[in-house]
Amino acid sequence: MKDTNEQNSQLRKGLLEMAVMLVIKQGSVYASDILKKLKDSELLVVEGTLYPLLSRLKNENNLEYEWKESKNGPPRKYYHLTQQGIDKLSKLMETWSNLNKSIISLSKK
Amino acid sequence: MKKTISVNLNRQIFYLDIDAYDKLEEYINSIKKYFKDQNSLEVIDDIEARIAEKFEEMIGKSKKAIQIYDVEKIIEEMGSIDDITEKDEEAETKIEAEKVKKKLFRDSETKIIAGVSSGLSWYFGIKSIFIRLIFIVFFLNPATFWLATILYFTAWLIVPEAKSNWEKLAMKGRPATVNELQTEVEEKTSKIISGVELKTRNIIQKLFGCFFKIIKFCWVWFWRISGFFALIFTILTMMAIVVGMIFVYLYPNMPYFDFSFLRAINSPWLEIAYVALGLIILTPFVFFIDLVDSLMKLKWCVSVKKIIILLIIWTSSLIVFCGTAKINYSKYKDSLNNSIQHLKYLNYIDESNSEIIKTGEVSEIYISSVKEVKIIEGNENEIKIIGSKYSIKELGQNYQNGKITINGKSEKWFSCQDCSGYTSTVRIEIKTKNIKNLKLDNDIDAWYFPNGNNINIEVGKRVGLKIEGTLNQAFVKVGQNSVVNMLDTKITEVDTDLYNGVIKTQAKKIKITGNENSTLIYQGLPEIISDQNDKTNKEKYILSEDYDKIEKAIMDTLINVDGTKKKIKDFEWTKEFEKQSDYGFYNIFTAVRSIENNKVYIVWLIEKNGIISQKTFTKIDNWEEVHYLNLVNDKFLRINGQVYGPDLKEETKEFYIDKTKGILQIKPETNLEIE
Repeated sequence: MKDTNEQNSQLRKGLLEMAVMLVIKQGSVYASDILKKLKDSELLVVEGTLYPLLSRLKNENNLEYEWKESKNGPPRKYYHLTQQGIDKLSKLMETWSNLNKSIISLSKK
Repeated sequence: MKKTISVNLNRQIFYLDIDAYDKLEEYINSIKKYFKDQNSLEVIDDIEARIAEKFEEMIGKSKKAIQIYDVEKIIEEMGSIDDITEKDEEAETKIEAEKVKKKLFRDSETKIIAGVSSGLSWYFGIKSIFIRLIFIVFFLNPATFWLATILYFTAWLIVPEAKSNWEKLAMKGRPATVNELQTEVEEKTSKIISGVELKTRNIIQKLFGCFFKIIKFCWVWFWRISGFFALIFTILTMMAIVVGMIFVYLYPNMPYFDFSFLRAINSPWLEIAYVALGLIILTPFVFFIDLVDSLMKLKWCVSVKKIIILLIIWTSSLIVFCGTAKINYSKYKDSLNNSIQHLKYLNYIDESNSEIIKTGEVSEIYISSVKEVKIIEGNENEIKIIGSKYSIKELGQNYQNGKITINGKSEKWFSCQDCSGYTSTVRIEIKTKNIKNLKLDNDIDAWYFPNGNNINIEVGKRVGLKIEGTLNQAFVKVGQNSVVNMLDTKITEVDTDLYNGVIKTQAKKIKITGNENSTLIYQGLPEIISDQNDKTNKEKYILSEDYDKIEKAIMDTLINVDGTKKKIKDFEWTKEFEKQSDYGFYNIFTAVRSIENNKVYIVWLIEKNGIISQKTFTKIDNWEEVHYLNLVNDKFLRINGQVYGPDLKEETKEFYIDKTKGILQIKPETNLEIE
């Protein structure tokens, strides 16, 4: 049981990066927006995981952020993908669709 | 009822219950600890911002305090640090071990004085009573009292007090987990201290508190006052250095402080080197002022930045100074050597070095600012200059048409017109046939051995001129505080002009003009011609006829040689000094040296207006170091440039000359004892 959990989480973590980039690609978003969407898709177990991931993507120049004033409370960081991030995402998507095809074709046999 | 703590999270204020706060602090600390190591502080900010957002959602606009289950809920949503990061088992155990590591804190909860003992007891895991017993034993033993006091106070100052729950857990060596924090809080509340124990503790604490407050007060003020004086001292030293350097720069060739060799370096190198040297000396003082400041505040307040700046200034000044020194060294080397030579022979004449100038016949001599002059009339024509190379070099000399001019270097003390500084330390020996004019400027000791001619003599201030030989006729002009002694000269006629001076002569005919402070001392029965303007004291001088009595007076002087009081004649003296006396130029003066020790005693009689008013005595401990000795104005003894002698007292008249009888009498009959 624990093993399956572990596997699930490993798989999720691998896909998480792609998922986050997909969310950000849709337009300038801030952390809470991302969290909401990811939670809906049940990819994220705990919220804290997101932040190191964002930080890493930023350090790899896949995304950028800018500070924007919010109506109430302090300014927020709004993230968007860089050109490099967009390229990386499209590559990832390609790999993913290929993988998806092969897995599905395998499961049909 | 619960205490709340206000927290600033992502620039927003929230109110948290104390337990909620502890929990949140633990959570955020665990995150901080991890991401600080990872060097991504951004993540911490992001997470804090998210927590703030969640708090905001929870409380809305109300001022509701956040409770522990709110925090627990948030942590669950955010995930623990292990959930956030993908840590393996190994790392986890490592963190766990670190948490358990004990730290030394002072325990304020069970303290008696400052909680040092209870803190130590936690650290070593011994009951605090044992540590206290050890301390008490140390305190009671006088030998170790100070050690214990110093140790205790140092521990008090260095070891921090355990204030937060985190620190309390670290002190006890428990892992800082939520459960532990919980138990810690429970322990605190459930701790029962009996009333009596509490009271005694309070009294002891108050007593000690009062005592230590006084000690602390004294301690702080002791350093403040010491620091204040050190500050003043430092600033004064800096000012003295600056003033001294400016002084040396503006007046480089002061007598005894001769820095004129610096002038061998050309501008602007000299100025650059000078400023650099100043900075090299002064920068450490600037640092020292900061140290003193720290001392006064009992707090280290020298910033590293400042130290670095000072170090940079110091090092670059050193480099600049060494650089200029290196470039200019060859230029100033000779100058420096000369200067050292010059300082060495500042007070006496270097007999080992001399220079001879051959001249034609000399009839006029003009000399100024040299130490000694000797003029001998004979058949040779020659000028010999004795003194160090440097001293000879600084002379200006000129020989033309039978006229010799020699100018020494004369230095006066700064801002003192009439003080004698130093004059060139040379002796000029002139051998020639027939001099017609002799002019000596200030501060010269001169001897003249004439050979029966006519001469014009003019002397300046503080000159001693002794003439021995034969002269036909002399015109003598004597300046302030100068003495011209012609008692050993056979002369027919002296025509003299005195201004605060003294002339001694045994001429047959004396023409005289002078002011009130001048004295004519004569021997025999001359014809004295003086005009209406003349106000000179005229004294008959007959001491030379009483040599035997004078010598007796000296030989009967009681002196104390190494505790033995005897008359001078009863001591045994070394051969070289036996009866070494001079009754002429040196007036009445005897130098003796005892066989037993190395000290030389100089005894002389002081005569004023024909009366010997005082017998005086000088002990010289290091005769070997005496290079130059003479009597100034027949009154003071000048040894190596230093003047010895008593103040003249009019009322002491142990010796006097009976003018009517023409004999020397000594009153009282008993001898004057000199220690």
